[in-house]
Amino acid sequence: MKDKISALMDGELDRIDVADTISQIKESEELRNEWSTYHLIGDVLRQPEMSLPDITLNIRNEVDIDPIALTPDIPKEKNNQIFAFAIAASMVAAVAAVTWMSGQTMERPLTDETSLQAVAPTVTIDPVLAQKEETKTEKLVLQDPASIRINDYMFVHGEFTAIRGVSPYMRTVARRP
Amino acid sequence: MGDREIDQQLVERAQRGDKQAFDLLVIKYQRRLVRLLSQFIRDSAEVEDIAQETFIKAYKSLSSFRGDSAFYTWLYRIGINAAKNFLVAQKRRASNASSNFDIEDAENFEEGGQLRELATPESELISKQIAQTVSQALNELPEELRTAITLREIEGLSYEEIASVMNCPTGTIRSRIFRAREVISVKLQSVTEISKDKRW
Amino acid sequence: MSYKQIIKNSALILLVAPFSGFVLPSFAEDSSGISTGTPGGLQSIVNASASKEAQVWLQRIVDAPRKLNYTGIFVYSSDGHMETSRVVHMVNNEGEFERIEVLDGPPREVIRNNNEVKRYFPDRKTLVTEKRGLQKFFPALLPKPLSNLNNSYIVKKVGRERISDYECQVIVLEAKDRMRYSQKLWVDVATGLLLKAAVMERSQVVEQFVFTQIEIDSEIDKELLKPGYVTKSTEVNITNPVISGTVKGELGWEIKNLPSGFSKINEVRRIFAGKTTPVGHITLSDGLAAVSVFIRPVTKNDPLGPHESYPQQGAINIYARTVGKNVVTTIGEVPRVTVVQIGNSVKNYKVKWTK
Repeated sequence: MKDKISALMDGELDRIDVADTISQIKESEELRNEWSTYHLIGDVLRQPEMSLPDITLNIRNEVDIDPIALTPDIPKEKNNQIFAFAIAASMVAAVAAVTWMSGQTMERPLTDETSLQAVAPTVTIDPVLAQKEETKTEKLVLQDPASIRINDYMFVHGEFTAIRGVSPYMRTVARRP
Repeated sequence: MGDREIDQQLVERAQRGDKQAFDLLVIKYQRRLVRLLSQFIRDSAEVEDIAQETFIKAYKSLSSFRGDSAFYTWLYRIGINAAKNFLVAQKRRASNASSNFDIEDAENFEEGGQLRELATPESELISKQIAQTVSQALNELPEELRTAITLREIEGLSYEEIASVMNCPTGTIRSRIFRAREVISVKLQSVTEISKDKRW
Repeated sequence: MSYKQIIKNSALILLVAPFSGFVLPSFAEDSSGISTGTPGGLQSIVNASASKEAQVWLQRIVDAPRKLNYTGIFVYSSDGHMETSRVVHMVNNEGEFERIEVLDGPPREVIRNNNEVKRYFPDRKTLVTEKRGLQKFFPALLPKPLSNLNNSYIVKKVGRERISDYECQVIVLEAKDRMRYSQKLWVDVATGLLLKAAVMERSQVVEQFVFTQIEIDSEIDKELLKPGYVTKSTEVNITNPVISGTVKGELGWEIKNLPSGFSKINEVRRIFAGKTTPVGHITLSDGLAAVSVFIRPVTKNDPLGPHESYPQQGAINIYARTVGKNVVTTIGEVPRVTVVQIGNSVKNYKVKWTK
């Protein structure tokens, strides 16, 4: 049986055996220990110098105390857009990124001599994000011309750094549009 | 079948209410997640807290995981976002803090230290012993077992790929990897006996 | 350094660069190899060869993206902010292709196909495309990066670490003075790809990027290089944004008081999206860090103040200053004191802005 656990964790167990093996692990403390030990061995091999935390206990406590009602039927449609926003919406970090962005625009409003004419200044609010986090500002703020100019400069500048990391644009893309 | 499909199976079970299936995923990914978060957050106790928080968040939002990405990708994103929140909050605390260390702060700091399981010398020792035992056991393995498990765990090759490298049937590889794990596992038992209370 | 000196050094570098397919350790080695006041001749030689070895690694970092396919997720972090992005990078006999997509916050992406770079701005629903035309993307005539590094940095190998399941050699470039940041680099041993990098001010990490997942050297699905934005209301196309290699007319701009180790590596005039007036762009480098100076005429709506401070962004500092009828903006991944010194040293020599 243990050899099935070894194959299972590598994703190499025959399909017909998988469901049964998982059930067996659930019911046997010994088999669960094997799953645990085999993974420990892998973790140690990959990162021998690392200390070996075990956070499973606390998580088990937390999950038991807080049972959640899971819908038995998993909806079949895969809407990537909603999926992405759903994850983003539940993560406060998405909001943090946007507030950060708006916080970094320059304070003085400047009008540039020739700005991008065709776009009327608009403020778009992502509806899903807005729903979830009302207290924070999540508007996609139209950048003022000074910021636009600085970003253009940074973009061009990035090409001259000797060690560019991922690419010349790493800093500028990560920063903001 | 693939790593990803196993995860998918476990996730689907967990989504249907099988908590133990989720537990198996926690065991599988806990240290990888901790390793990832250590890239951004220095304090190992904080890293563990955030890793815990990540798994719990993942469990609570399991129903929204549709399998568009690999489970671990989804888990890692949650982890990174949790780390980000932590850093933002930390920065806010730092900027709000006065230059004089408040008595109140000191008291809270003390208390927090006791509640949390910091890396005690003892647990560090156990970690070291485990690492040493694994390393020694690995070296004592017959060469074909050592190669098989190394290619699997460190290089991440599939059984078929390893079979191709070692020029033998896939079934033999499966057997070699299992035997390697068994041998190391037996040697570990003497170390983990010490910290038995179902830690490992 | 006088302006003439700068030109002379640049010309020298330009001459030497095409002939060396490699970093020029010997160029800089003399200044760090055998020096007085150090343990002894032999030790210095040992130091020099260790440094030379480290520089070989640095050259691998520079070369790796030119030869490899890779795709992965990386996290860029600074000042407590973090952002996750995906990169897809492909090299074949048609050239180099890349797409970076920010996964957090508003969608931002950059797509590069050889000499063409596209940026999409979601707030303005605008796509800006720049085609560089004759000027190659990594201009072959620029001096090789990493030359003169030893003047400003102590370069050393410091052991190995694993990043995202890849074994990496760690290299440290320690700044010799406070005019620049130190850097710590994690390089994949097998391919030379940079998997993690940290910019540091003494021992404080100022900014960092790290791959949390990466796949090197596998087939790239070309679909992944296609843009993610569908709707765009405005398209701006710029062809040959770089107008000329020197300012037409007189000598132009001089940077008198360069910080130690910095020299000019490029000087052009160029057009930016949506603006008709060209902007002068001078680039300086100490071998690792680059500082750009942008010079443009004042417009009637610019503030009249003598100089502007912008908040530091990660490792980037920005300092703007009015010089006569021009605004001089200095940007670089260097400490504030350095952009200020450079920005304050920019001097005008009867510039004529002819279109």
